[in-house]
Amino acid sequence: MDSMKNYWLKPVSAEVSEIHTRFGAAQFATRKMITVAFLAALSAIFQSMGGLLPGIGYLISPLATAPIVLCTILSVGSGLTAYLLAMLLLFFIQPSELIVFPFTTGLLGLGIGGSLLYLKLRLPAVIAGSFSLWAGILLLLYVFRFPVLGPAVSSTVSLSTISLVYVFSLFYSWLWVEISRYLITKISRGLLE
Amino acid sequence: MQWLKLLSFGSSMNTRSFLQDLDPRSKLIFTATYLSLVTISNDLVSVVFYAIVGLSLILAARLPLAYLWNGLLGLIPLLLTLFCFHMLLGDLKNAILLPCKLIFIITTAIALSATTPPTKLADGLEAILRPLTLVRFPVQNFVCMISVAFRFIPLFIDETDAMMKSHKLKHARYKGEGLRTTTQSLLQLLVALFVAVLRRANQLALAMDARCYLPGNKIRARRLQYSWRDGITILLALALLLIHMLLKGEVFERWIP
Repeated sequence: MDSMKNYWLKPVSAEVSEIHTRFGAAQFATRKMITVAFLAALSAIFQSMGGLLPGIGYLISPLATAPIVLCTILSVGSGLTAYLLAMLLLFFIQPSELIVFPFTTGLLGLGIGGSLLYLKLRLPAVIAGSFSLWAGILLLLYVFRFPVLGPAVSSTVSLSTISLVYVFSLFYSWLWVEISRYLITKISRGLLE
Repeated sequence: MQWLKLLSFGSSMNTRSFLQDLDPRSKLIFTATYLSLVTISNDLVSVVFYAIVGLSLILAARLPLAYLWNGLLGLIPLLLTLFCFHMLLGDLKNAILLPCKLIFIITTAIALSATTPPTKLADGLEAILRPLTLVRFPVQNFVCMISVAFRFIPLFIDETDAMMKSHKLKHARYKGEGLRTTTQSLLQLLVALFVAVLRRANQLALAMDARCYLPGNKIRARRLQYSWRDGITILLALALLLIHMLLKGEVFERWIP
């Protein structure tokens, strides 16, 4: 029981606050701006691979979440800027991915990044990420009637589909919190130098 | 390098067309009007009309058809999925409408990026977004970020490609290893890529700071200027809006007598 509590209610990464404080300083303004621009470009490149290289590209495109998480850790404004910038770049690079990015990978990045920054603990981070992804998928599926989960999942509202989507979002969000933790730990030295 | 060839972006070409000589602001105004009308259109009559407009746009851009085809090639599986999905639901209208809308959006994006160099596009965006400064949106910073991102995308693609190749060579002897090894090596590749990107960002920011960079403190080589072509384009955008309203009215009357 204690190990479970230790795992879920432990701060995900100690470096997040340090990165946020460092990049909040005025002398880091230019560096923050360029870092956000570069990370947004990277996010757009990863996302566009889904359309450019059918097959392996679908494995690369989920990685578009990582740069958005990193930008949101710098500040929520930076995360939103990177999200908008990546969308704009996608419009020119691979417009077909413009439907998927804002509602799934991008939104998940914003959710996880924001919760890592303000809530810090693993459980709230996973839940916030899962809610953002869940809301995005449901919007795509039921409002825009876009078959984001493939033709097998119908776009008529059903409780079982909504619950299944949430379970998937929860698992996927947990996976991304762990990946983000790994990335932040490894990259923090580069960000803080 | 092969990835770069797949992108329809960054290769603005001189087609000596009507669209080529337009001011980026008028192109953006027309594109925004056209795309928003395409997005909200919900009947087959409107789609036929926008297909004609899209076709005229391609003709006006004088783009090679092979270039357009390359841009649409990666989209075919998605279009087929969309079509099959709505056909399975028995929704013939959406089965035709949604793939058509997607094609219009993509061809317009290709036509815009092929006829406008990224620097001009950024200047045009800055002019269009300027009113947002009233709500304290950092337009100049945003546009600077757009130009930086545009300029560095080909470089990042090259870097990713080189890293993937070296990663493949390094891990050639682990072929057939389990999922854990593969995932770990992929994560290492991702970390290496991020570190390289952050290092480059650091260097560029340092160079900009050393040259006393201030947002908005920029000398332009060429000022944006409207000409008679731009007047025609903006009038065409207004005409589109008017025709859309008329079409909507007619469709509305037809369904609700």
